[in-house]
Amino acid sequence: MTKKKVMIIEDDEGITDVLRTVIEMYGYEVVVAGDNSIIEDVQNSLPDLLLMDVWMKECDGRKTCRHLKNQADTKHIPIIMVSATRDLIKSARDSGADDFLEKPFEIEDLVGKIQKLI
Amino acid sequence: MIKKEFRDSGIDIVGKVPWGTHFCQFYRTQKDLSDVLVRYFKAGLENNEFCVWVTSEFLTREDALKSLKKVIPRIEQYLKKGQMEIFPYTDWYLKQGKFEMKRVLKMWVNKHNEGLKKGFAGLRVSGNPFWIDNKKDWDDFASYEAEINRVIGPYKLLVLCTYSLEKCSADEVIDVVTNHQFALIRRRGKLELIKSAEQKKAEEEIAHLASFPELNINPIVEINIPGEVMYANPASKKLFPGIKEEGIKHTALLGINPGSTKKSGPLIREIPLGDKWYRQAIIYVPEADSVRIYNNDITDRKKLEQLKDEFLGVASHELKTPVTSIKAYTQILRKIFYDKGDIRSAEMLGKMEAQVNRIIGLIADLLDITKIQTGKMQFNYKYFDFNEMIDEVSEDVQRISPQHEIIKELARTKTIYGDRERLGQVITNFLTNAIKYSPKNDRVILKTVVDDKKVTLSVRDFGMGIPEEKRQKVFERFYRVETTGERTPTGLGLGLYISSEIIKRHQGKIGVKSNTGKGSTFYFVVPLKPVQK
Repeated sequence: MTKKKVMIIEDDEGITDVLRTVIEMYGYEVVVAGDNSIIEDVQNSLPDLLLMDVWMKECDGRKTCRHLKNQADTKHIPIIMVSATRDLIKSARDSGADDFLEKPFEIEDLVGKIQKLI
Repeated sequence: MIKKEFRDSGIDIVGKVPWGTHFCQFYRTQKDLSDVLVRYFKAGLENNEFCVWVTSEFLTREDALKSLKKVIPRIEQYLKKGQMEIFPYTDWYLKQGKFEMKRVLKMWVNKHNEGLKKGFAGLRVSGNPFWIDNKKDWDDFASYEAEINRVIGPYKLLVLCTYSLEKCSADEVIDVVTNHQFALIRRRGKLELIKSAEQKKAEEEIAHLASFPELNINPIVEINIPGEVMYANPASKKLFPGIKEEGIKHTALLGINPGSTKKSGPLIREIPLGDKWYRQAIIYVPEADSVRIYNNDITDRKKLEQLKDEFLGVASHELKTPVTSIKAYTQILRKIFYDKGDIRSAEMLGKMEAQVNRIIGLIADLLDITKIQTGKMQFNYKYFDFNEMIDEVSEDVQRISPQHEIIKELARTKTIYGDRERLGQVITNFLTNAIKYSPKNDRVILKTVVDDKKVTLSVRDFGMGIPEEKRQKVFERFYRVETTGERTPTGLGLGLYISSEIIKRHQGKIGVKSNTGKGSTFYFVVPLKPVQK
């Protein structure tokens, strides 16, 4: 059985690393999007789930999420938004994300949310 | 005391005097007398005052007119338009044949009111009791002068009484001086202003005291109950331009209600004004029936606070990133050790994770604080099951505090409208405090009471308690109750401050009842359906 593919969209290396470790530990394949080529990477790779940080230096996670949800070839991909502040959860909800995770998180919560969507 | 308005006396050494000034002149010659009186009335006429001159045989009406004409060429016009009236004493003091104090006083009051009605600023008068030639009349007149002194206060009146030095005996001079605020006399060729040493000392003391608000670099303003400015020191005129004219409508005084300050007591507030911030003490002064506002510039302090809050906000946000990694790795390692059967190592990582959670709690508190300060704390209101939330939250706390038993006595509250997570935060705060401050005791009781409008939640512990003077302070930022004994208080002292802000935002009340040594009960009351503002 091929592993499900989770793509991480995050510009902090430390967070990317630990997310990869957790997600691989639970049997998923992990790919990481480049900072400047997020939309293309998603389109080319077509992962089963996206894990996206709301606030990144180069781009606004909410805008990207909305864009992907509106694009025909990517709108089916479930997206979990990751946010450092609880207050952004409401606005993240408005951009069409399927779920969110607040930082710092319990790894069980992260895995649970992924399993619910794929 | 009404605001004193100063008028030009026309006499150099006297300068400006307020309405209600009653003074006298001792003259020797006609020239002495007319020099002073002509300048006196000239100033009055030029300043829109109604002028009345009662003449004597020493200086008759004709003499008066002549000397006036020399210095005031337009005198005929003033007379014609009714701004100046000159009466011989027979038509004034001795009207009806004899001097009668009550009648003369009434005549003055009528002239005063007549002048105001005609649109003049007030009444300026001079009279000369040269006609007095017996002791009885003198005594009567002296009483009349004393009476003028007593009642002149509220009138827009200036009174200059002129006395012949040659006619007055020593006793009579004393009578005159006693009944006037000060005296004028030409001595050694110059006109001098005579006042008692007592009065001079009193005036110097007043000037000295007045210099305190006058020289203060901070604005000091005094307003009456209707909101007019009675006093504004130079600093307030400079920093609050237009304050005297705008009174209570000025932005610096916006929101001040003198009537309520009278009832409520001193008020302290901080207000922004342009790009500055002021701390104001607003105090009712019973003797003057007025309200004083003392202002302090706190712009620097506010700027520093804002910088600090911004810094805390950024720092907290930045701290979350590495802490997120640490927590996740701790959990991963714990799982790995557990799966391998190395329970001891797994337990150590469990303890590590507990500490990391503490750091996360502190960071969250700091972040909350900065959001409260900068007004950015957002709330997500919705209907939720109150008891269900209480169960969740109390179980979380119970899990990490095995030594204590959290006993619940819950009323049958159904759904309430509010921010589920924030209210949970408050309950967690109450529970963790209760446990923290009763280390030796084992019970904590969480109780709720509900009626159709509101719900009250209380958490009771049986620990140290809080002394009375500290009870209000516990809700302040960074305040921590001292523990007696070994352990220093942990945490930043922010929990209750944040809790009180959360309850405030739910239009609720928060409080504590406590007995030193017997324990404390922290409670909050929130409406079941708060009105969202």
